[in-house]
Amino acid sequence: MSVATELRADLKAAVVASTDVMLPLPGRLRPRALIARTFGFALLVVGIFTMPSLLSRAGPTYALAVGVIVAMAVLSVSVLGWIGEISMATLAQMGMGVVILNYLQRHGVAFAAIVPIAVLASIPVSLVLGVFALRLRGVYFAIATLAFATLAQKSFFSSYLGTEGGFEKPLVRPSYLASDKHVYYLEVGTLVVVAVICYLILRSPIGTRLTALRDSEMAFAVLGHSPARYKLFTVCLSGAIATLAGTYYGILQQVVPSNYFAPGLAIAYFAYGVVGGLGSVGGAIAAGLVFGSTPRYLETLSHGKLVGYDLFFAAAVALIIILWVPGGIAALGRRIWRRIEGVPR
Amino acid sequence: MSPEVTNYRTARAAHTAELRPDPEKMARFAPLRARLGALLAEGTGPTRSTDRTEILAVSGLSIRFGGLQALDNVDLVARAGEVTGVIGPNGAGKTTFFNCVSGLYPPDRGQINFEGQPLKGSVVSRGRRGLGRTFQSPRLFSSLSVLDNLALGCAVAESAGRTYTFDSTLARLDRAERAERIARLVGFRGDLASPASGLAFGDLRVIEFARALCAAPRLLMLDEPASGLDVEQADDLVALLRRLADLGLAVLLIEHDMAVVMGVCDVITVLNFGTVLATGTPEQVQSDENVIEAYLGRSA
Repeated sequence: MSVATELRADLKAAVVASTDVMLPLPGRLRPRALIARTFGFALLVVGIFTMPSLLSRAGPTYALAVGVIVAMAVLSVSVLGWIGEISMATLAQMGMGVVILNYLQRHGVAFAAIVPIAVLASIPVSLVLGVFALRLRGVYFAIATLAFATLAQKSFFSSYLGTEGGFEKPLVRPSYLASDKHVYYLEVGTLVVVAVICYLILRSPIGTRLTALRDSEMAFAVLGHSPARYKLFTVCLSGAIATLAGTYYGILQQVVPSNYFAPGLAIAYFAYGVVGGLGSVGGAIAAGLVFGSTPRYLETLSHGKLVGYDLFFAAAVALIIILWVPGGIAALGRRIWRRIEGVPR
Repeated sequence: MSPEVTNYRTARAAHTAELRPDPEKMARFAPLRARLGALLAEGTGPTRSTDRTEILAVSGLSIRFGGLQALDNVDLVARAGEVTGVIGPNGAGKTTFFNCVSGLYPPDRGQINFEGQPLKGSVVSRGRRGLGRTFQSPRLFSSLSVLDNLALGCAVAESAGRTYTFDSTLARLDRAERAERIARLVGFRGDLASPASGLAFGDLRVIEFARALCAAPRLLMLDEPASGLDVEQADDLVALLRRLADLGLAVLLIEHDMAVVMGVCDVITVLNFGTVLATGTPEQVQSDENVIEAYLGRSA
């Protein structure tokens, strides 16, 4: 077995470990599970609205807002796990979101219109990556996307966004997004919509086909299903989420230099995806929130002594979780939730 | 003689010995075949199709991998209502032949016609045209349930507008019912909701077979379907293949179990080093001097 094949098998195992068995759907729930889910949902809603105030002593809402954007980016990585692929172009696609935002703002387009335009504009870029996905698999696809991201960085982002801070092209927030808290609520609302869409796709016949494609592309094709169609769909969905995350990142940061999208950082985002549980929607969001927000809170709590330690923190947490639960946060969450609901193992 | 050649000949002789028809096994299938024949003759079973249309016609198929001529000018015809066997030692080119027909390998030369039309295009389009196949190592969608595996086959039949040659009543059933009917037809007795990853090897083969049937194929290509099956399952397989063929399906079968091959096939093509050694009925093939010399051995 070649190294590439082994890596692909490992990747598949990681996805299966985090998405093996879904919890039963509402309607077939026992009373204890129904109560647990109702309570859990209520807690989630209350948490979303009170989190900025609850954590105000630990740090600014900005930290949470960054966490939600990282969650979106990690979700984009995780979505590609549905077809058993790894993309290193997630940050490049986020960069596209910033560029689109800047370009359209300079032409007087309202932010509310920019968001759907950015999502649509992500499709041509995703299709280029999709062509790679049709020809390459596993580690080869990952390298191709890394090459794409590097080319985009050197040929486009560096010149457009600038390497010295990009101050010449600041992004403007609309009045209704004047505070970080407002940006946070907008991000959370969008993330919920995106997560629900992803969840519904996974539960739909499309999700079944994506799983089949991941399990055996050859059998899938021989049966008469088109792997190309489902691969392109998944790459486009992943790209749209990443571009959306980039657009929101632009509006949050307002000044975004090109080095924010350094291709090498994509490895860290892939690691976040693995820690969350590749292929899992909830796990990816949880991982993004943890790895995106916590370092910023630690910076504030340590009065700046831990600035620049975000990747150190991420590495330590990732190591602990991967060693403890190979299926990542998704598998851990599922294990805990099963216990709460009283579902037998 | 070099040690490599000696080793190869020893291994080849051992393999050939394994392939010799076991008289006991052959005897086991004789009554089964007679029973099926009687059933069909009496008219109490399904109506036997008289359609003998050429479904697959391959001529001059050749493919080379580097220095190895894997297939060399292979001709083969598979007809509706017949089980066509493809036998030969390991490395003879049987699976390569299947891969060329199903579109996984582009042949260097040769013509493949399917239902009278040239067979071109992608693997996907060939599957949708009614070319079903299974693999030497079962390739189920292990993360899905058995039912989902079968439903994916049914979905292809629906979207491609295919009809079930072997049972026209299937089209009236919904996808889940159809999947269950076909699963039971192939002899699966387990829980359809169970995950495919938990199936025993024999059941993996059976469900892969059922999945191919769910897609309503016109030609069914089976790569060693009896491998890993117990005696009872192999008996059922032979009976089922015979029944499917009698109902109008064209079946192309690669199999090493000579009892199965001789018990069910109408026509057998013997491949050796990528070339066709002989083609004929089981009786003709068993008495062919070339086949005996190169493959079955004198003691057969």
